[in-house]
Amino acid sequence: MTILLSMAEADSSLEKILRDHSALAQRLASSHESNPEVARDLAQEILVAVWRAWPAFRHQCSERTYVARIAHNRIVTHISRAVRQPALIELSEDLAASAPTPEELAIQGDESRRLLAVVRTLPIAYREVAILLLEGFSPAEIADTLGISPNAVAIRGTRARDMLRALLEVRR
Amino acid sequence: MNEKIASDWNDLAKLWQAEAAAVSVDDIDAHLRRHRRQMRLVTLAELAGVGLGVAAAGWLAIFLPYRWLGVVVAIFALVSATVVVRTRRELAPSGSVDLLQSLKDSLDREDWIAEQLRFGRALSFVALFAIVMATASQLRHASLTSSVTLIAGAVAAVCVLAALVWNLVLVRRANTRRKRLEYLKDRLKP
Repeated sequence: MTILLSMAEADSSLEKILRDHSALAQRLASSHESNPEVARDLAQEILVAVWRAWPAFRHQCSERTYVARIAHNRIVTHISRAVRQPALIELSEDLAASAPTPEELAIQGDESRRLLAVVRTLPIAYREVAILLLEGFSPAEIADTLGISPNAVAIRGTRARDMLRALLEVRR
Repeated sequence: MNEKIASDWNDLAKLWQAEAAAVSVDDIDAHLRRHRRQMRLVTLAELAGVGLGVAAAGWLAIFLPYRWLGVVVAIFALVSATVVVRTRRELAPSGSVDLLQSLKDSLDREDWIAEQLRFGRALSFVALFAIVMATASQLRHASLTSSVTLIAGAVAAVCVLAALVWNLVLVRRANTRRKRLEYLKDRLKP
């Protein structure tokens, strides 16, 4: 009976996590992994990690900050362990031309996918802030999730917004 | 992409948040099953490796009168297996740690893994030394032909060298992981 009860509780917490946070996990995974299959697998791994860590959640921060931190922790593990991943390439801050061409973006389809493709081309320090800003996190939540100061968030946020707008303009 | 989207951040955020497919309980269940299957395969491969080492040790100690060679190989196989199991332990997912702290923790873990691998390499060299000494001693004192003694020594050495090669593969992977983690940390810290 106890086992059945705990299984039922586990199922309900998993359902709640999936209902409330699976979209966030999917988008965070997709913004760090371009292969859709691997991104889907990474999102599932993030959600499993959230589910396992959920009993330790003490409301010391908001639920989505908690989820975003765990997601980032899993993404770090994913990036460091990806076997066939090519060497990480960092863009210069002056919007290098190695981003997808207009033709590539046109092939990629709808606007959401274009936005995702452009976000992936941002340098990592700006990408992290841009993603969380797009997710609707406040600067304080972003600072809390990434472990940087609110000032750094403000500076990177402004720069990330400018870069994103410029990149979208260039590829219009 | 139209002018409005490029200029209006809120519209951009709405567009961003519109992009996500749902994940079902069945997806998670399939993911966990897949993960368990992979881990079972890894465990089986590791058990097969240890089994081969122990079998070689048994053969040396029982079918050939080289008890010490057998003991060296058996101890080596069991200690190596313990070290491998210990290094494979995953970090528990933590929602109380921010990204930079997570990177720091991951780098600390890589340092710890490098330490275990160094211990494994040191153990390999000690085992190889013991095998060479035991073989040399057998060649001097044993009544068996030298070719049997050399074959026994070679079998023991191959067991240890195989583990050493695997250790070096793991060192290479650990170095790659470390470089990637450092790269991320360098670019993320303010």
